[in-house]
Amino acid sequence: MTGYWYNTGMAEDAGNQIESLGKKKGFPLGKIILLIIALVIIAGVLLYFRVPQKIGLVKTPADRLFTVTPDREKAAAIMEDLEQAGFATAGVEVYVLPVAGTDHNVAMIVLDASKGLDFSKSGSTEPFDDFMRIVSEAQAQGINRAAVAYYNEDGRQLMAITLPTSAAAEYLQGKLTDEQLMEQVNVGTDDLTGFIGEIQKQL
Amino acid sequence: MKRTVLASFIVIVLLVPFLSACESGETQQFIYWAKLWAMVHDITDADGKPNYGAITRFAVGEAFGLGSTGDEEGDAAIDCARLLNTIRQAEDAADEGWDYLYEGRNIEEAVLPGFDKAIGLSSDDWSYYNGRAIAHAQDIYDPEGLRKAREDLDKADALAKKSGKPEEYLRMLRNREQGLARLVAEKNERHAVDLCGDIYAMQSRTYEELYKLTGDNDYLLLKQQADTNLGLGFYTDRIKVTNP
Repeated sequence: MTGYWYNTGMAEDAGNQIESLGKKKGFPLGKIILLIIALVIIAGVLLYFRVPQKIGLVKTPADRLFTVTPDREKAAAIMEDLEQAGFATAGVEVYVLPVAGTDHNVAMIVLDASKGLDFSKSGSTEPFDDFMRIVSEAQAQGINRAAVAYYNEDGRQLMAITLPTSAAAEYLQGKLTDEQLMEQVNVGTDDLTGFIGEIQKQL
Repeated sequence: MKRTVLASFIVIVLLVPFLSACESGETQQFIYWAKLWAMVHDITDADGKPNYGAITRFAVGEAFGLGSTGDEEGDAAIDCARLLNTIRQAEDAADEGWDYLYEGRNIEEAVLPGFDKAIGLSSDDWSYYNGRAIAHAQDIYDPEGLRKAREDLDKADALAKKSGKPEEYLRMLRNREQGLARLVAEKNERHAVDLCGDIYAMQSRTYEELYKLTGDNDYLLLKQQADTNLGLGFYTDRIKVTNP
């Protein structure tokens, strides 16, 4: 075989090919690092803009849990409580979302400045206590968590605050201190820059 | 200034220099809660000085959607912006459909697009199928209206049963009953003569089912009322297609 290769000159060609292949199989560390950095940046951008959630690749907790028809009867009862407490209800919407596979319900109270929300028109003299009372009483309707979602004048949701209704009840009964209550309150935003901008504008 | 009270719970601590200026008047109580919240969540120390490490963690977590309350329902309540927007848009579209239906506007051109849009946005919500079913049943100019109405009623039934909760099915029936009753009331109030007979028939069946499920005699009386209206002919017939 060697003679055949030698005689036809192919042995030399084959050697050159092997050499060049060897070069291609080298370890371009720099390129790999650049690739990894690029991938990390792309992944960061995709996560920042929540692309997986938007295209349905990843379900948000809300998509997983709130899959059934909102309970309009319970929502109407909460809205009535808000009105009776003297809250101005222009720009206020209430959605009671049943949690799939459980008897739990989450009350979402939407405060939308783009739909005429105006706190200065509120007739409640103790808005915090009144709100806590309404949240606490919602427990009787099987609502175990309440949340407030705030929308700015452009109609963008800037933040959401949530707390268990049991915490509101215990607080009103004096079983929780202010600090303990706040430990159970959670705040989140889907638009951090918009949120900061809103506060700066207001301040 | 009042609006700040709702948006002040967390990032406000980034603007600590402003806080003292705001600690007066009606926002005082809310500033107190915001500061307390920030403190118990380690965003600031007891003196109100920002904990930049925690703020960064919070900001990064929120920006990338990685923040967690430690409770699944809490996370869902916080991260509900997209879902809530869809629900709100669907609700607005359906409200428009209901309003136009009660006003007696053209079903095909004005009423149905609202319900169609609502169903497109939130296809698991049985209330929109109830609304569209009533609209189809009332559409005297559509010879296929009754068939379409039945399809939507079946869909609403199936969705309500899917939850596996009897009270969900009851809620769906009450929603249907209220939609029908409101339509009849609006037509009576306007002395309109175009109420389709299929509405009374649908009303009668709904009351009957509610009576069977709840044993509430009021539903039986309401069923009898619907049957009486049907028997007395207080309605308009659906326009039928005649074969050439």
